[in-house]
Amino acid sequence: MVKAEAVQKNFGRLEVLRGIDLEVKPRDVMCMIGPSGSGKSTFLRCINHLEKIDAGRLSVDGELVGYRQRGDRIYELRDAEVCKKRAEIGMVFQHFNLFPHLTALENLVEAPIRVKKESRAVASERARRLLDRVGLAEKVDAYPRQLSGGQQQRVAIARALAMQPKLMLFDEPTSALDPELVGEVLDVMRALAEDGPFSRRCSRAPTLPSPASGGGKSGASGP
Amino acid sequence: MADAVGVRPAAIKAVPVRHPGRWVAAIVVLAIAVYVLYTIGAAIGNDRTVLGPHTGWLVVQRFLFNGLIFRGILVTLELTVLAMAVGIILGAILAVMRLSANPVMSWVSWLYIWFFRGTPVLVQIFFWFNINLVVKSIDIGIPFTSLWLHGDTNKLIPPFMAALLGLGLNEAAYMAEIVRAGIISVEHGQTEAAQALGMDRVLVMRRIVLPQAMRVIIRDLRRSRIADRREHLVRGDDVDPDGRPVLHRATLRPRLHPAATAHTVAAIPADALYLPCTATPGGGAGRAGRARQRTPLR
Repeated sequence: MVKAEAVQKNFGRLEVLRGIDLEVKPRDVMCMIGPSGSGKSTFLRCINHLEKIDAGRLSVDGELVGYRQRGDRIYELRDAEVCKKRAEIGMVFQHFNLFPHLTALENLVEAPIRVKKESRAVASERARRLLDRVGLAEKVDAYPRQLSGGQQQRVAIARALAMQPKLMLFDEPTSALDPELVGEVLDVMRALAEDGPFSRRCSRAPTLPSPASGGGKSGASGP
Repeated sequence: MADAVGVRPAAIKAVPVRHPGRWVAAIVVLAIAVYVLYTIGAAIGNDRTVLGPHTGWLVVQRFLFNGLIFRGILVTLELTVLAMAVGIILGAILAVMRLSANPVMSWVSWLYIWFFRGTPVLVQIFFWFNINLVVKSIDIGIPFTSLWLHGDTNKLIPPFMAALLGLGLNEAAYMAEIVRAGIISVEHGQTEAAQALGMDRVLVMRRIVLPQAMRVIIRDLRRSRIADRREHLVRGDDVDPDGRPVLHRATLRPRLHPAATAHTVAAIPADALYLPCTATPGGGAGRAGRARQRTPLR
């Protein structure tokens, strides 16, 4: 599903990722732990090309991330192609990043309708099912500010799932939550891992710390 | 929590905190208000100053409800609305261009904003009015065919059009900065979340960033543009045709310059228009506007 070979990433002169090798197979659940600032988020963001890698090879489902190889040459993908790839990968952020001007339901149907050109009826139907699944059936019309942190993060997970991704990335999904709210989010994630919503292939990598930093304290959580 | 079932504590009866500062402030404000009103009242009673012949109040009274003034108000309103429309549309395009990844677009937008903000709007209006000096006619058509439209610039750009172009294009430059500030104010996480869902640049901007930016844009619009217009009004004619300043100290000359009287005539309806504009709270900020309501600092 995800294959990294000697992946490197620098921010200016700062080496963030120093040769990451890793493989995630379909249905695998993988967690990365490490101190803050060790590059966990950066690596996750490289997987859906929110960051560009500087060296090495990174591929999802056998295809390079952000590039296309033809013979010996590597071509940069056009914006539209990058977007298409991203649409197949769900991402959940530390700070939820729900769209505050849209209701929970609208947050879920926006991308399926605009990006995948689904009909509103189909998208809404799935969105309602997903909200029900994360235990927020009655919050369909609530705006993000009317929800608690844990509820917001569950909506964010449902929003990512609404695109029917083949891979889910969780970037410290519980570290911005009050301790008593962590449980509800972890429960949802655990349920996803056990009976993957879209059967076969749902691999997820909750909170990845960089192996380069050699582990360290557990800054992360995962089921 | 669960203990003490059925026992309800008595409601608290406390002496409220006193706020002497509020009383002091009220007394000071009241004293100043009484003093100001008394001074003005005394001056009116004393006929020689405020309402006397020197200030031209009779002239003001005569022309305040003159048809010319009303036509002026109409033209002003028309110009304001149209210039605003031109400004908002062009300004939004310029702001998006300025933040575009395309360096040519960004640079062109920067140049436009720099030029139109840097030159006085009055000069720009004069330029459009006298465009005929530079460009005699405008011809649009398809090369090597006979499909051509021809227009004399003096006919294409009557005075109203010149004012609209001058104000609108100038407004667009200011608007672009306001829209840009609004766009930048939207948290970057919003863009990232939208990108992670596979949205392209245009979708992210149109569906996610701009709707949220509107709250800040509308707030800044109300704050700056309305205030700016008032300034233009005063600044626009603060020198008379002979180059003498219009606003004098009353003691310097036996009577105010006639232009100052004209200015008063214009200022009264203008204030009647502006004051309600700046006083209406909140409205129109849209869905996002309801998101955050300010509470007073305690």
